[in-house]
Amino acid sequence: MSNFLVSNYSLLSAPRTAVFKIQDELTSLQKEVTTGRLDDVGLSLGGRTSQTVSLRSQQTIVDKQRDANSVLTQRFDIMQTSLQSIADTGNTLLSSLIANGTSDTGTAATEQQAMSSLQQMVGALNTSSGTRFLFSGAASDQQTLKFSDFVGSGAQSSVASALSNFMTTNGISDMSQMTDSQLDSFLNGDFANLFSGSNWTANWSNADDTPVYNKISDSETINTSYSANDEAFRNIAKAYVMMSSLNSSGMSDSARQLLSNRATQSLSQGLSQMTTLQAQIGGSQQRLDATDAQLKSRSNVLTLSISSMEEVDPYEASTRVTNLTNLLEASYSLTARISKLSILNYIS
Amino acid sequence: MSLLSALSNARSSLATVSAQTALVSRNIGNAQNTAATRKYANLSAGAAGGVQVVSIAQSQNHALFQSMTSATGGLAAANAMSDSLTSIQNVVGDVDATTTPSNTLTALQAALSQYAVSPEDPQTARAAIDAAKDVVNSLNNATKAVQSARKDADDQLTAAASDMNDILSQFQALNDGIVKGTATGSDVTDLVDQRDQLVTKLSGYVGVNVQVRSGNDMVLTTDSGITLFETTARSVEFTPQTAYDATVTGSPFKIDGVSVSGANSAMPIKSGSVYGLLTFRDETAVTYQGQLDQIASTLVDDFSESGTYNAQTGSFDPATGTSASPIQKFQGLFNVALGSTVGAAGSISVDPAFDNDPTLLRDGQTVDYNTTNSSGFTGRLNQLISAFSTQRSFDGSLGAGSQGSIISYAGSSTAWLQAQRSAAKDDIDYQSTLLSGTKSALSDKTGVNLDEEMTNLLDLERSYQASSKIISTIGNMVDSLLNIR
Repeated sequence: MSNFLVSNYSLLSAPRTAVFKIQDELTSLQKEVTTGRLDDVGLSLGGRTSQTVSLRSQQTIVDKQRDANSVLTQRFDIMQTSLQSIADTGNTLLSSLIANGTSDTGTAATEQQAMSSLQQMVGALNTSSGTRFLFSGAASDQQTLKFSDFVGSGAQSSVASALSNFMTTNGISDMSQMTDSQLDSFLNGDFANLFSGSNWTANWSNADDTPVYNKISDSETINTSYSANDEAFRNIAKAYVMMSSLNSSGMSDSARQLLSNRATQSLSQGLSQMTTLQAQIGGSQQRLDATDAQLKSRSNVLTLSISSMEEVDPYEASTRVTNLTNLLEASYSLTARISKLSILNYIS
Repeated sequence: MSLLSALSNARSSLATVSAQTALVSRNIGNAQNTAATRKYANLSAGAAGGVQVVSIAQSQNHALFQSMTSATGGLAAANAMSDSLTSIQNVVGDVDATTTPSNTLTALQAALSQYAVSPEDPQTARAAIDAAKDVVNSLNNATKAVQSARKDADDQLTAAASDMNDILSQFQALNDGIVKGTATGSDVTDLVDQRDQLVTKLSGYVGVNVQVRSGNDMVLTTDSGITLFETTARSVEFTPQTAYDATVTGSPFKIDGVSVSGANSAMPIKSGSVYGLLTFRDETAVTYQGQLDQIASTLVDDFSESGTYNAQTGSFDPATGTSASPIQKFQGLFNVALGSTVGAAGSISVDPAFDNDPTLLRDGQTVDYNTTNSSGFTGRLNQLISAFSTQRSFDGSLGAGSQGSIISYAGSSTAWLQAQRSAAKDDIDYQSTLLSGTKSALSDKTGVNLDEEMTNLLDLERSYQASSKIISTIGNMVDSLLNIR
């Protein structure tokens, strides 16, 4: 039997177990203070971990979606710039056509200007961004046009042979002999035929019209493919070729007048069609801007939600560290005092 | 009454005081031994009025001892579970680690989105395949961690079985000694201390119920009633498996021929490290493996290709099936060894053909999705991306939900693991507080207090002095008597 209520073991072990517990808590709190994040997120949150896991996954998806969207935005920007340069060149030619009239000297200048405009358009349509040719549509790894220089290309020879065939068939030995009605039938017939959809892809373009859809948000999908096969480009190219490659300087004045009218007509039609195209791309750009703003605010909300779950208040954590340090010191001094306390000191 | 009887009384007093002093020194020697109890002498008056030590007794408290052993068992079970779960957690990683199955899946979805934006770029295609490999590695590694944790549990069970057999045979020797000593009336208190210590040790392995029968004979049963010791030690049997994978079932742990856990057990135990290890090996680990397998098989399904045979082109078209040519399904990016879903997470791999030609992801391997062979084709990729957010059905018995997208399922699987860890940690906190409480209470009731022993020693010193004084006084008196002439 024992008359005492406390054994030596429990007297000394009580402060000792307290020390272990405090030290354990202190190590995890120290980590929380330095990282600002829960020591062991999974352990602290338990079953609620699925929330932070799903928030993190959403955030990754949102951030990567924004990256992907910024690539699309950049492509659309480059496309708009290219289209604008084509439009500017086209408008300049249009005003020259009107200003230069149909005199011999003016014609030579127009011919040259049309050729350089054509070359400019070839360059603009062949624009690439990264590994992708922007106006190739679905065939994005193919150069948009079959050639980088119209001079010496298959397209140029197809025009030349169509013209010479027409002249041979109609018994025209020299350009100046071509009558207005003959020119008219050539322009509406064989020549217009060169710029039909199938001949365009045979002689000019590698582009693929199949629409390509990209997800720009969870719910929204847009067509990101705009190809050089659009009628706008065919009409503009037709006008440029008319002015540059049909030997307009050799024509009679009235034929030249007709040619110039037709070219003006085709060019203005093409330019207005291109404005529609630009508006379409602009619409997509606007969708991307709106989506990006939405994704950005969502990403911010997600960051806040994740931090509210996983992060600790640094002030609270450091206050708790201070408290624990005090407790630990108290525990140490208590252990020391209890161990000194013994009846042996008082009996002799 | 005579002078001589007074002398003999004083002598017996001296003898008793010496015996008690010996006990005091024994108690002081054991003051720091937590297993030792306080010993004391039972005294009685002799026939002629002297005093004598009848027996040596010890302070005991059976109820507190029983609650201490049960807390030991509970703590051991919680510790075994927590350690095993932590070994898995270390491989799977923190919620922000890039190696968790849910994070690698998210990364794969993101890589596919990037690929869909630049489907002609071989670099983005390669990045998507690399992300797929990360998913495979994550699932493979998690499976390895789960199975090696099961193997560890098996090894610990083997050690536990042999240790328990040792303890029980030592217990038998001690119990025999105690029963004999009690019958002959000799001092068995130290043996009883040692026997109690063995019971405490044993309760770390399985929850133990203790019964003390007449003659200080102890009977041990598990907390479920299986006999561990009654007169003789019962054998503990366990045969470990040589290796573990998801298809291997652990062998039963038997005490006295009775299996202690599992559905077939008539008397399943409820605490002790054996309980914790068996629960982890046969339930927790199997459930988590099941969740990983669900993720893997769903992933294989998401990336599979289905189409109908087109006799004209000789290839498979992604068309709706007809009765003449029904839809056929082929494994796509992810391959898994054929068979049931069990172990899918361990055997899932990225098809080498995709590794050689990442654009198969865009065009399809067996089924020809990209009929025009456009480099900008995104139809298949968009289909794969949306598969990540499609609602799927999962095996609800595995504890991570039955409906949801594959990513949300992977998230709840991670949460399930963390919830198990969290529960195990709370259990450890509770059981260790309980254990240290009951240990202190038991020690207060049965342990040694140095101050008490020292004050007792003072008493004993005084009575020794008094008895000596009596003897010397009686001696003087007898001398006076003899000096009469």
